[in-house]
Formats: sequence, C-alpha cells, structure tokens
Amino acid sequence: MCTDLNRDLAKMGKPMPLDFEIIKGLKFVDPHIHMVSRTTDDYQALFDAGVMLVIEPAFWVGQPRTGLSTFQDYYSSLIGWERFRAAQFGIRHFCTIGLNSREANNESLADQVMEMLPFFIHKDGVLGIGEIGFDDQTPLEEKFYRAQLELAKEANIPVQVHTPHRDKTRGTLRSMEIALEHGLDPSMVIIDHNSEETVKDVLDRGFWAGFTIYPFTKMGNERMVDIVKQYGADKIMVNSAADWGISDPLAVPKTASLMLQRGVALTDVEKVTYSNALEAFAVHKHIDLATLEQTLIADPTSKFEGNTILRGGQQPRIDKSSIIIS
Amino acid sequence: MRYQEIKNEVLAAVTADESKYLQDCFDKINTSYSTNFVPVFSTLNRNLSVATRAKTIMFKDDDLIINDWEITQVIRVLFVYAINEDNPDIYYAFVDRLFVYSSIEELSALYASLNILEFPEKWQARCAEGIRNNIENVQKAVMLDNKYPANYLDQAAWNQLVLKSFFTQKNVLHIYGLFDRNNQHLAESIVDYIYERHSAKRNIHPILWLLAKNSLPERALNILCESMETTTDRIVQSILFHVMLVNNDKLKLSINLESLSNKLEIMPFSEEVLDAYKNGKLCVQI
Repeated sequence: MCTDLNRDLAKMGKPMPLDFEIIKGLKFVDPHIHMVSRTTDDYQALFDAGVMLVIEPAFWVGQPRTGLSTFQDYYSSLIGWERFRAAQFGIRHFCTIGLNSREANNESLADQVMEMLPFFIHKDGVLGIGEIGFDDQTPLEEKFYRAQLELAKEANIPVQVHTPHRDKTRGTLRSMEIALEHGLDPSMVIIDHNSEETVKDVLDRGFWAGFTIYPFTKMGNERMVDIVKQYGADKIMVNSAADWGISDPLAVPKTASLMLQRGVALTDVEKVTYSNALEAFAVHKHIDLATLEQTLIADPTSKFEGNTILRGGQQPRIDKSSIIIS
Repeated sequence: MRYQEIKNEVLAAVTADESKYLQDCFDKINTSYSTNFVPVFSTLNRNLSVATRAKTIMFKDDDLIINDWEITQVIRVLFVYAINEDNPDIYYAFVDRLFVYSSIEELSALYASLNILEFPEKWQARCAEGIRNNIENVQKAVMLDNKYPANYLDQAAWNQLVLKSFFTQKNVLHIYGLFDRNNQHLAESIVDYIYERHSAKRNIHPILWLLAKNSLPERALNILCESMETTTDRIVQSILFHVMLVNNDKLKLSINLESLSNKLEIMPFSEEVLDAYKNGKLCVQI
C-alpha cells in the first residue's frame, strides 16, 4: 500500500548488507506476489536469488474495475501472458483466482464475477481460490467470501485468505470461523498477512499461517525471525506480496538469509521459505516437484535454425554496466 | 480427420486407468457437450500422470499435421472434434467462448484445431487474432504445422503470419503452404525487412531470399552477394547460390557463378537442402 505511510526511520531497523552467499544453492517459493505489477528486472532478480516458483493471487489492481470484461482479461492474463512471461525468466508461475474483498462491495458486478469464476478455477496454473476475505468487513464482503468458500469446497482446492489491515485480529478470527462454519478443512486454507497478534490463533486452529514481509505496513523480517524462533516452522510460510506499492520482491530470500544469520536451523528456513508453501497449495498435483531441482527451460523445443536461442531458458540479458544498446 | 485412429493411438499411449478416464470423457462430451465439455477440457492435465503428459504423438493425417505434438494437445483436439452441434450459430458461440476463457495450453490446442472445426470459413478472424498472440506456444500452434491459415486466410492475414514467423524466429519451413502462397506483396515486405536487417548489421534469414527471389532490386542483390561471401554453412550457401542463379541476368558480377560454385563446392539446391535446413542440420551457426 502506498498511502498513509508512517515512515519512522528509527523503526526501520539497522541496515545490513545484502549478501546472498549464505543462501546460495537454496530454492525458494514466493507464495504471494503480484507479478503483473512488477518489471522484468524483478523476474531476473528473483531467479538470481533462487526463487523457483511464484504464486500470484488475484487482487485489487489499485483502482476499482468497473466492468466484467476487465475481470475476465485480468484472470486470463494470470493464466496466460503472465505465466508465459515468468517462464521466459526461468520461473514457474501459478495463481489463485478470486474476487477480492474491496471489489466485493460492488454487488451487481461481484455477482457477475461469481458466475465467471467457475470457468477459471480448474485451469492449468490455477492452484486455488484467492485472495479473498475481508477488508472493511462489510456484509457484502462476507457474502462473497462465503460464496467463494463454497466454490473452493466443491472444487476441493485450497483457499488463500487476505486478512484486513484494520481491526486485523477480529477480522482474522472471523475469517477462520466462517471457513470452519462452511466445513472447510483448515489444512486447505492459508490465512495470510499474519502478525504477532494473530499467529497463535491461526496455528492453534490448524490453518496455514502466511506472513507478508512488506516494508512499513506489514511484517518486517527481523520480527519474522523472532516468530519462527518462538513458534517453530510448521505450517508457517513467508511471502513478499510485492505489488505496485513500495514492496520488495526479494523478501523471501532476504528473510531466509536473515534467519540463517540469526541462527534459525536450515531445515526450518527451508520449510518457511519453500516446502510449506508447496504443501499448502498442493503444487504436487500440478507439477512433478522433482522438476524444481532443474532450471526451467521455457520451451525446450524452441529452436531457431537448429540452434537453441534461449540460453538456459532465459531471455537474453542487457548489459547494465554499458551505455551501449544494441 | 482420422479421428478414430488418432484416438486409438492416444489411448494406447496412456495407462489403463487413464484410457478408461479418457473414454469416459469422450462419452460425456457425446452425451452433452454443452454441460460436460468445459470441465473435461480444463481439468485434463490434472487427470493425467506427469509421465503421460511428457509423451508426444506423431501421426499422418490429411487435415492435421501432428508433428511431435504433446499428447495433451492431441487429446484436447480430439475433444474439440467430438463436439456435435449442427446449428452453426450455437456451435460458433460455444467454441468461440472456449477461446475467450482459455489457458495457454487450451488456447494452443484450440488454434491447432482450426482446420478441423466445423464451418471453417467462420474462423478466419479468430485465426488472424491468433497470429497477433504474443505467447510462443500459441503462436506456434497457429503458424506451424497447421493447414488452416494456408487454406482459409486472405492474403493480408497470410502475409502477416509469414512476416511474424520470421520476426519471432520460428522454424518457418514448418509453415504449411509457405511457398504455395508466396505473393508479390509479401516479397516486397520481405525486401524491406532484408534492408532493415542489413542496416542493423543483423543476420538475414536465408529463407527470406527464397521467398523474395523473383523481386530483388539491385540493392538487395548486393546484400545477397555480401551474405554469400560471409556465409560458411554449405546449406545456407546452397540456398543463397540458388537465389543468385535465379537473378543471374541482373547480377553484374565480375566472376563466373559456375566457377564460384565449383570453387566453394556448393551443394545443388533441392528439396533435400530445404529438409536439411528445416531439421536444423546446419554445419555452423549463422
């Protein structure tokens, strides 16, 4: 979020040098990142830092959509163009599809979106329903949250739940109660954007707990280290939720680096930055997880006059140290 | 389309359980495509094992060029073929909506199906739209090993397909009808492209010369001779030399082409040369 920032420098922590040597060779998943808002430089940086797979929940694009077609095109881009774009940079792209809470408040449009969702949720690349839940915690948000929980239950796919910025603890508890009321298995629900105030309730109820490392407005990664030290690594995952705001697409590898430097065990770091996300979103149902051991070749059969044009599956890189463009 | 034979080929390539599952899918589409097609079409991948999905199919068919297609693409094309609807408007609306709501894999399969869709003349605009698509596999499904564009596209759309295939670095010899539908308009656009590549000091695709060989102005012929001097691959030399021979009367060369041919041991231009080029058997990278 760009607005209402409280940038108190004293609370921004002591800077540490960016050093990925300690995480060299590790693999990461960012289970919440909005790549449609990010640049190709970000994709290259993610790849270089070891992020093998990203999950992009459908979200609010910064201003309200006013017609069904823009929702349709957005969902299409998540399973189409963005997925392809990611592959060009060696990154496997999955998404969750859903009606976000803010736009649930436009009831007539939201009703139309609900009719369209069943066309998308079974597509290749779609892991589940998300991100859905509460923002202002209005009756309409609740109506469409419930409707989408039913859709997920019927399709037997995971749900990625956004928890509100305001009145967070109550909103988080309510989100879980409603999910249980609809008979969802907590092990198929990821409650996202947790804090020190919500983590215990989420874990105690058997839900997955997502933590968004996002400067100024959500979690800082020093706090995240303390949480993993206190609660362990089971059922916890970190993400960047990087979007059009001041956010950091490298939040997951940076947090892994910090955890290792501060004494968190390697196996725990791997859980919260890699394997828990794969398990929670049941990625094994979509791809052979063994392929994550290999660099993604965007199109192994792509040949130009007999010569593979994408070296290592990657787009060619520009030389950033040169002013020559050719 | 040899539907049953292709279907048998596919069913033989999957496990017994998958074969049963797929047969059930076909039955569902036959029973009611309007209610059953979308769920069957969209959930295909998650109902086949990773090992099965890695398989490819080759099949000689009159309507389709099934050249190492992923098995899922072949299955999806078979599903589309199984849609049974006599009313053109209902059929068009249903299939067109499949395009609108498709994933990358589905879209590729739908474009690969163009030549076996009912009411073929209705799909010209959709095919032209597919050529504008920017996703590699979707482009390939429309442009390569697909008989629909050559059979049904008008000249303007056809020329866009050919030009875009060069711009996007496709293996252009997989374009069905590439030489049969060659035309003067296309040749002129290709000459413009050759000039642009030459000015930018970038490689010039040898097949461009073949398509424009009867329309080369003096400037282009000079570039052709320059390319011949710098090319070391024998297959490319053979192609360029063939174009030089076609233009022999216009070339003001001080050297004799036949003696140049002997000196360089240039292979005679033939179908085999094109096949070698198509299959990537270049001696060196150009």
